[in-house]
Amino acid sequence: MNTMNETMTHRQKSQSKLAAKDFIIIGIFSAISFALMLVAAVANITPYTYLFYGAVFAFLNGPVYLVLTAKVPKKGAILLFHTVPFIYMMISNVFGMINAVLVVAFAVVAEVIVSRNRQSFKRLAVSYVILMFWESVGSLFFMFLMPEFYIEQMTGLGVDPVYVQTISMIAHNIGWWILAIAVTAVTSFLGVLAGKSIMKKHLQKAGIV
Amino acid sequence: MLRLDVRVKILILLVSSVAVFLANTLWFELVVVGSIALLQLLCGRKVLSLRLLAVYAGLVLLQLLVMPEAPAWLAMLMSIVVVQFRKIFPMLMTLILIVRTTRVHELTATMTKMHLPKSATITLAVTMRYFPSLIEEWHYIHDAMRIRTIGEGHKNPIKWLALRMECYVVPLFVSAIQMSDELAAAAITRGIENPQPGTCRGYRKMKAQDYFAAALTTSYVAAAITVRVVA
Repeated sequence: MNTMNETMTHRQKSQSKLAAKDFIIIGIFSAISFALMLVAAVANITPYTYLFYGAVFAFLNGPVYLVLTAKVPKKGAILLFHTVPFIYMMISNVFGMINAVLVVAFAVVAEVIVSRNRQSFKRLAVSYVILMFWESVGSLFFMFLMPEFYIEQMTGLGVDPVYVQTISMIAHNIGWWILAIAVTAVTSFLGVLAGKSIMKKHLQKAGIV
Repeated sequence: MLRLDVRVKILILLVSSVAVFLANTLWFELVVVGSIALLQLLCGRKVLSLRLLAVYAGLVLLQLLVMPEAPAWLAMLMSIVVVQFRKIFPMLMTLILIVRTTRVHELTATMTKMHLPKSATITLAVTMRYFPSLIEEWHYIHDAMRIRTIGEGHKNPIKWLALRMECYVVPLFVSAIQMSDELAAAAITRGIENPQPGTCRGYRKMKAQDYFAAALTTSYVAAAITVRVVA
């Protein structure tokens, strides 16, 4: 009986640990998520929509997150899913390197939130909203916390003075940042909701998730 | 033909973005882009993308010649497209260099030898390998959507967008999940779950030229800092 229990717990343990199959699923979904990141970059075109780049990405990425967490309900899946954003941030620029640290930090927080119950939609939604703070907080902080430095950087690159002025106006008003964070939180929640309805309508019926 | 180690290439990638950021002037960026183009040429004629280089030259010329003369609204619009897009060129060119000269197995071999966790190694390798398939898949879905004229006749733009999104995302998910199942089955048959560390075919040690290239690359950071301090 004892040995049977032992083998049972052993099996449960091995089931809750990430295996090679999970790495492959996470790798494929990372590619999809990264492609969406590039699609969302269209938002960078004007100084005002630039603030909401993260919001657009958060909405598009919501279904990907939900399907991934349903497919791989294991410890470390969310963290591993953020290897690609981490590397992308590391190579993008110096601000991005600081953001890369935030990516890991928010991913760890998300892991902790879902660790109790990986099937609960509430937990997943909350974890995703918090996770997407890396887009709204992490990729905009330098603009609002170090506006002078940021504007100097823009000018050095040869950006048009009118554009720099607009950016400067936005950067000196912290309300824009709060708005961007709030909008990102809302769109990330909507993204998860969209993901839920997609799963219910299609993927669960097809027996895929 | 020059062959560099993956680690050196990653170092070049990091340095190209950091150095341009630190120096923050156009002429230094030109130097960096020129060096990367030269390196691409050294790595093989097919690695150098002349089209990309032409686009870059066009952007620089636009910025130097047309933008100061253009009316304010046009200059503003152009500065976003021209400057923001130009900014990513050093990174983009190095990425092309990496993708065109590095086989996935070379990357995994190096990562394994560096004792990076297996999870990160496999995930990254799959991500890199899946990208071309993703683009292909996207085209198939797009073609299928065009045949069925989905979304026509919807008056509400939000509903239209939701429908379009659903019709793109669902087939993509289904094919991605199927693909991951097939890949996993193939990989398990080939013994990916073996706990013993595998042997690495295709691993190259750092050679003299790699060390030289790494030293040369780091010197760009020093140069960038000097430029910043002097300016």
